[in-house]
Amino acid sequence: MKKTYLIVLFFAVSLVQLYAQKTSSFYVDIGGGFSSFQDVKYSNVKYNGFGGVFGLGYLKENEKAIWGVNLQGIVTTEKAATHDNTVSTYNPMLQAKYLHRIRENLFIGATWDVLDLYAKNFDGLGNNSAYNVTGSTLWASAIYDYKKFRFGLDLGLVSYFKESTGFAFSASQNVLENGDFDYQNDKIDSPFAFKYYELRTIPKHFQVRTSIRYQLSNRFSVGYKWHLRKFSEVKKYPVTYGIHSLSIRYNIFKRTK
Amino acid sequence: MKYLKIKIGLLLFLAVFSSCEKALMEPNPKTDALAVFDEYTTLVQEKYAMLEFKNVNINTLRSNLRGKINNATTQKEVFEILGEVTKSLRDGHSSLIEDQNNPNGMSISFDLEEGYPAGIDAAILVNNYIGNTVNSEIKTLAGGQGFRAVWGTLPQDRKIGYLWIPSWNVEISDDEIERIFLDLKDTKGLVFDMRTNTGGDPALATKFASYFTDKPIYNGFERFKTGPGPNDFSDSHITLQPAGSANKYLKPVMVLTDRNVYSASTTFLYSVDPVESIKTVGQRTGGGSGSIADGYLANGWYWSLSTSEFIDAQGRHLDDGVEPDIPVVLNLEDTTKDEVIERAIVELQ
Repeated sequence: MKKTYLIVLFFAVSLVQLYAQKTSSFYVDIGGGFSSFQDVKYSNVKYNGFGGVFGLGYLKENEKAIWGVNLQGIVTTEKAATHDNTVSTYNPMLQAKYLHRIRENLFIGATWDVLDLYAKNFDGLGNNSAYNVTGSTLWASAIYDYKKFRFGLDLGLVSYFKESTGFAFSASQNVLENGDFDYQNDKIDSPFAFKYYELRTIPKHFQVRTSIRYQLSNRFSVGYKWHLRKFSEVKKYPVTYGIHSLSIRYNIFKRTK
Repeated sequence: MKYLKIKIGLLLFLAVFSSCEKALMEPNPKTDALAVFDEYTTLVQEKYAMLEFKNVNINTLRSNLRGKINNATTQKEVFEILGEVTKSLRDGHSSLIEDQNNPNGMSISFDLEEGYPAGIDAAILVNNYIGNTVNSEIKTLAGGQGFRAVWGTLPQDRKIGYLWIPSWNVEISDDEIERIFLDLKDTKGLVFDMRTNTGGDPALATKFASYFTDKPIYNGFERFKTGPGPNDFSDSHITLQPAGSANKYLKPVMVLTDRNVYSASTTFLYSVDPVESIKTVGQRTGGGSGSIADGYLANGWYWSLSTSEFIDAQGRHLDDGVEPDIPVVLNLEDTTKDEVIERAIVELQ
């Protein structure tokens, strides 16, 4: 009886030890990116190009959940597919996420892009040189661990955002449709003028994000991320963009207890 | 072997996902002559805001021109055919440029001055009114292409102020605007020279306009194209709000105009037009009341189009310009005076 008790106790303690394991890490990401863009309101020509990725983040994981915050920035230079004009793309983003452990290797939860600023600068254009989409998105998130791989999938549920350019002018479509345009109204050009933000949900506003990370060592991992966004503030004239990044993550500190 | 599998897997993953968004995009357009012609005429049809006002039947124009394009049509010929569409709009905001980096490349735009006499002579202006040798009280804001602003009083009558903004395509800070209007505050009337000012930032023009009223003024409305259909428009009604400044200028003002008073200068003019103490002197203005959108055709040619127009409080379409309240033609043979300024002085005395 005593032996059985000791065996059960051993397994119970081991199990508690296993599930009580806590890992926290502060990391830096650095790598390269590839982005593509098409705004059918103005042209069907696709823009594609390469650039760099930088990120900082904190991630905490325990027996119940994963949560973390992440600040990342992507800069690329895209070239038109059918001519030589280029566009610079900047995409800084601040994210927070919380995922609950459903199984040992499966987490379900949410990610909140607190601020997602997607900005472009088209060389050689006048009023249409600047294009940006500013806002915030709530995502349904899942993480699945397999050996040294971690797979991530986010599905954009709802976005609260502003697109800077409407069907035929560099002001938001709702500003023009609502008859709010006025040169004395500074808010029209401000990416943070919430008055002109729209709340959009799937499927009209479609966003998906995938990721795959391979743990090379305790300090290093390599990850690939893909972000796709497609939406139409003017019916039948969609904006579509995708951003791919491949980065090395270095854990400045990683503690497990 | 293990790492090779991982590498292959990652490469496959990248290859699959990197083209995913492209599957959701429209295919790239063709760049042959007919495709470019169709792209441009569709842009004009869907985005140009004044086809009716300019009396342009885009469908007829397209039908007439499309037949001129075939496999043997050269790039130059295609450009000229597209240029026929651009020219039909009679609009300085609407242009077509082959290559913006090549000053010798082909370009089409509307000549505002064609058929009109010169509205200003810089030498006459400098030698008789604002040059340092004849006017030591003139102040300037350096920058832009020469000066961002020139102001002071006129030697012909020191009680009359003079302000010249050569272009709105500059930055003038709120403090600098305050300084200008503070200096002009004690004059009994102002000559606001807007000649040669072909536009720039309409918000800056509106900011200046807001100094000439102490109460809100209804200006009219800007009619924007908001969709591809012929009736897809939306009107933004504009009321000019007065500047929150103690240096507002509420005395008589003569605004000097010529054909180059265009775009943001038209924004200034329609903003202050309802003010009774403000009159225009000189030539018919150039107009250019609309806002501009621009982009590239599939072959890289640059286009710009007016995608709105302004209709003022009197119901006038302003895009072709408006006649001044007091028409005056400059006599270039008499280099001792600028007839437009002289007439403005007489009106203010």
